[in-house]
Amino acid sequence: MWSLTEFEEAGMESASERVLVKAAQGGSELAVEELFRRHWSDTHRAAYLIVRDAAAAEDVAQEAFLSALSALGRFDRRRPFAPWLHRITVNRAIDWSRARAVRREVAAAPALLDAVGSEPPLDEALEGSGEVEAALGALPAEQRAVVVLRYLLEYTPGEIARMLDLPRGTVNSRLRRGLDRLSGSFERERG
Amino acid sequence: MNEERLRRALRELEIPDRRGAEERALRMVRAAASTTPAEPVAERRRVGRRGLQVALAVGLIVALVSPAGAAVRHFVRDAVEDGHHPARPALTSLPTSGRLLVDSSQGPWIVRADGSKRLLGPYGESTWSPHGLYVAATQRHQLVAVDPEGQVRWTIARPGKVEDPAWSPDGFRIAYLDGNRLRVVAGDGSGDRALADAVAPVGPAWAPGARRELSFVDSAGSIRTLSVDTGAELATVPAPPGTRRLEWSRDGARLLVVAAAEVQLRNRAGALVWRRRAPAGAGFVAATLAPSGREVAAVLTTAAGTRSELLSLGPGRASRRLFSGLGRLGEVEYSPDGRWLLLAWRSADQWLFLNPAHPGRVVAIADISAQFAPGATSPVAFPRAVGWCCPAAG
Repeated sequence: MWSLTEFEEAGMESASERVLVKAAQGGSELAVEELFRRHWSDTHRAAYLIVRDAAAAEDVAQEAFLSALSALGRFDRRRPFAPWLHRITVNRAIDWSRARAVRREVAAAPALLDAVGSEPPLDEALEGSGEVEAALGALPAEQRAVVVLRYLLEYTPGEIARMLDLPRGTVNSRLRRGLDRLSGSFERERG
Repeated sequence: MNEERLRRALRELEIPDRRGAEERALRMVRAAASTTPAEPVAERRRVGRRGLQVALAVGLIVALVSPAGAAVRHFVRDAVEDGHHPARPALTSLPTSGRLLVDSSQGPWIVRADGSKRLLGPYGESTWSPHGLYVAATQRHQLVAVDPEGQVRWTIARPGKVEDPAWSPDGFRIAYLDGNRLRVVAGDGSGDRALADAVAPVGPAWAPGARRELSFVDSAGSIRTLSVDTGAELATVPAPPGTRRLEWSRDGARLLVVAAAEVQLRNRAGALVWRRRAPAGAGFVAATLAPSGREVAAVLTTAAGTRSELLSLGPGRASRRLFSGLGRLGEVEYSPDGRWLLLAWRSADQWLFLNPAHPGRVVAIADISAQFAPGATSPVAFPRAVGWCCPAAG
């Protein structure tokens, strides 16, 4: 069994996640930092892919980490840390996207913007990730979330269903519809 | 849909300012962790509640006082209402780190993040060196290099009117116009030489990278990109009529071309990869690239100058209106961290600081002309923000 001292002497890179969580619960700032380093990248990326807004993604991921940190005391360390953090992140990202959809968007007002041309990118190879970004953007936030959980974070449909409190059938149908729409977008991009 | 292709694209998609976001988040997490009391594991459940309360309070305070947290706080009440921004009477601080370079009727000013300003001297147009250690400025027939305290380091004189200086990203060259001739001088003032004749009055733009490539518009209506060291012509493409600005993205992958009738993005080879045309009866007066290089902030104004809008445009993304105002808007500049835009609202004699992610969050500063012309007894020209120093990659 690791103690806090043993953990800090042995080095954080070699520590298991369970040990890190235990050390973090015990007040180790090093352990908190190591948890951050292991999970920030995926968490931030997932948030960005769902909200599609860099500043908002940073906010969402940052808030998720702070929320997880504040709730660490009641976290059961027998469970893996990542799904818990990803659940917080994805749900916050969905909430943010819903809020954006309902609030009064400045772009909604008819004005010069509406008259600006809307040609698609002229260069098909504009940026491969740009195609995906645009295609993802055409999906509702809830569909983006399941696509991100499945294909970025590699959760199974069953795990996604538990994370989002959804029936597994709903997850499967959202995945299928999301993939269909993404396929359509890719085909159109190819012309 | 190829699932592997999707996986790869999701993993490889570029996130703007990814490293900056990580650093800021780490600081927040460290701050929260350092103030969260340690919890004896044996008493986890009982102490956890107290720890939870303390950590929540700390997290909330940290989140609310941080820029990102402030953004969260505001995102539910975004709305832009024309002209209804109570303006602050003076520029007392910038909304984020960095220093602004501002050309005014009295000369270039440097504005620090705390709002303090220093007039560099009686110069015309100015530009930052890549790390903000020097400023190159024009003075009729002279090009002058000064430090941020205004001390002159060197000057060179030319027969024509010296205009549009641009410091190369590596700091070793300055390009400028001498009348209609494009010239290049070393960063220490040595080795001044002509690079091209018959050049249009549009500021040249350096492509980031070690190869010292420079784009400019010639009087025949072409956008040309040359290797400054070898003189090799790397790309020549038609410039849209009325081209007024060229700007390379920080990664050197895209060239922004701003003309009255359209804004374009071109790739390194000069090929057109994206464009947006202005509607009939309106024209683009300014535009700049976001640090990500994938988004363009563009100012569109009606021909009569009665109404203007700041738009966020870019390939593969929905166009957004960030601000709309009566009269004329002017230049637009991104903060070094990309989180703020400075928008000149000339008709209102104001600067607006906008968070592009949350367009309703506008900080307006009044009486800009007077603040950059202290002591002036007659009306003065509206100053022009020319650079917000300095991008991390600069």
